[in-house]
Amino acid sequence: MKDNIRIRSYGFTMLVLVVLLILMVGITATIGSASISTIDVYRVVASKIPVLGELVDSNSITPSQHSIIWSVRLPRLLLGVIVGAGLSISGASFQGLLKNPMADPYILGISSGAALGAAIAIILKLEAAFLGFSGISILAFVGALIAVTLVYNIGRIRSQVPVTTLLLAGVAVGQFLTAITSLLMVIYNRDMTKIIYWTLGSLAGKGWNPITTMSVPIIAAMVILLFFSRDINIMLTGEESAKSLGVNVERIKVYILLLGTFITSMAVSISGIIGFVGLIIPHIVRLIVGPDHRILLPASAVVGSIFMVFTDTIARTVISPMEIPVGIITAIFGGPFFIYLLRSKKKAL
Amino acid sequence: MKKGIVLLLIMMLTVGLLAGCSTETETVQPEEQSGAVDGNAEETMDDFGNTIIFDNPPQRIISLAPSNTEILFAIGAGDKVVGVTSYDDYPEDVLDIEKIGDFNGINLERIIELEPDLVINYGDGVTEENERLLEAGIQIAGFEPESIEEIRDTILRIGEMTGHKQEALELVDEMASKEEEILESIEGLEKKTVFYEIWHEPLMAAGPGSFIDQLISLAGGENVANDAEGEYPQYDLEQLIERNPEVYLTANDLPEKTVDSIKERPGYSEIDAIKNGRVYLIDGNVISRPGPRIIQALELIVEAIHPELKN
Repeated sequence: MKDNIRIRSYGFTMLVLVVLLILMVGITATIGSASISTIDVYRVVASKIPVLGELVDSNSITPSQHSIIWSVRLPRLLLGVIVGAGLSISGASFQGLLKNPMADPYILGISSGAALGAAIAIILKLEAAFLGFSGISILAFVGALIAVTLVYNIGRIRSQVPVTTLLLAGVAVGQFLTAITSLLMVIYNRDMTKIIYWTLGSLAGKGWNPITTMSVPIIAAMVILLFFSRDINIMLTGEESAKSLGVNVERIKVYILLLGTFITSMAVSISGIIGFVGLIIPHIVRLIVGPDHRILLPASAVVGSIFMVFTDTIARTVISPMEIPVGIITAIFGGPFFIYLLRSKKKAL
Repeated sequence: MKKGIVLLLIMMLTVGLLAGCSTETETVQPEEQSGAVDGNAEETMDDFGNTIIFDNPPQRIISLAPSNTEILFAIGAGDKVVGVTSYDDYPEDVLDIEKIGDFNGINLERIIELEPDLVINYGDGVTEENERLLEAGIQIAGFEPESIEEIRDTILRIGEMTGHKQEALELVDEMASKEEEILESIEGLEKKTVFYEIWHEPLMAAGPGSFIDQLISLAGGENVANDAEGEYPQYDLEQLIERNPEVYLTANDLPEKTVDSIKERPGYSEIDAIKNGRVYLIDGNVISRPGPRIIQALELIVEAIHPELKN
């Protein structure tokens, strides 16, 4: 009964957040360095919708304005939505899984593994796509998967994976893989520029292609991850009691790690490495909605989208006609917030 | 720490990639010491306040940048070059010369072992490395030309310090008359708007103050990115489409970068340059090196901006 009320209030929270996200996308769609009026932006969007498109008079819009809105700005916004959601939900589930507020995809060696995979793909010139995934995405996922497998097995003691050993293993493996990436950059220095820019992270100029190919697998993995939110809750109460409640703790850990790795490496393979989102968004959301992962995970995804779209809009407009790498903006907002979080945590202790 | 390394790498890369188009214009005030040196010693200043003095022209020279190597060969000092970087590929003779460094760094021990009289840097080099070279009794010169005028000036000074003054003067004259000839041929032609892509992911432009910007305006083009801040700014794709350049230029520095791959990029289809097939890949080694071939680079850009000249 009590749970029903809670679920209903969770539904309301999600509704509010989704409305906020839609508003955010709707507003930021009209903001850009190109001078296009708000109404024309919506005309372009409407003209793409069947039925409605025939009612809209889009004669006053030049082809280049159309191209700016439809081929550049909208896909970029949607990419922000997907990447922000993916990084945040993975971060939230890793933090819950490891019971560690510092856990995020980077600490687990996932990003180092993905970066190494991507670097190899860049060096081998694996531009060809397979089932819609680019060579870079596939190798990024393979690299991330190898990293997580290594970290998981090194960190495991018998059938248990204590948090401290897992994090230590993550740091060690991460450093090792980063060293190999650096070594590759030194040897294949002709590709160094490309690898470095990839690791800097950007949502610019990707078009619709990554959205059409990546959004389905990323969203599917996020939905599956949501089904494990109750298990994360139970595991948080203690692995022993979780086992006594019939939760197969080790197997679920593997599933969550796999899903989170998949989501992160897919997001990272499109956008490059964008820091802080996976770390700070779950913290902010936890402050607002509380520690229940049934709301924490989906809310993190939506808030992550809002944050990503917001920071990317700043990145692309604030010093127009130039751009700032979006990772700088996320760090500028994320860094101080994280320090604030640490300080207030300290006081609470 | 890690960020620092990345930033350093990017700085090195930008230097490497563009091999010579840099930002700051440092005007070095030559110290007044005329007449201070007696005999027939030749005294020259580089861009960074080093005075290079030789009683006899240096016989063994190491060049740490392709652009400077090209200058040395063009003024007839090529036979004295004993070490170059792995990026050096012009003129062909340079391929036989020992490689003593790349943009990851130079092999200091090998350089000293080669016993050069003079090492020519691009930019002012690494302070510690310079100190080691000076300790070994090797003179260092650094040049960082950022415009055609500064390239000419660099050529003259390299000519002076290597004892090839006359050849340098001839080369500079030849460049000037060639430049004049090119500029005459485009006189009265309509200006075209141009975008020069330095990098594609993320999109980076040749901004104001870069020497590519100078070449574009000399060649009768108007750089659409000339209101950006800095020489090589990351550029907003929306602005590129809105400003709609008539000509799109970039270097052929990546095998996967082709005219077709540029045409297929999201949002590019409505840019005039793409619609009218005015996308040109320019020889990266010519356009990125501030050396004697800069006039050739100007010619390539003129050909791209004004194809009607060919008929």
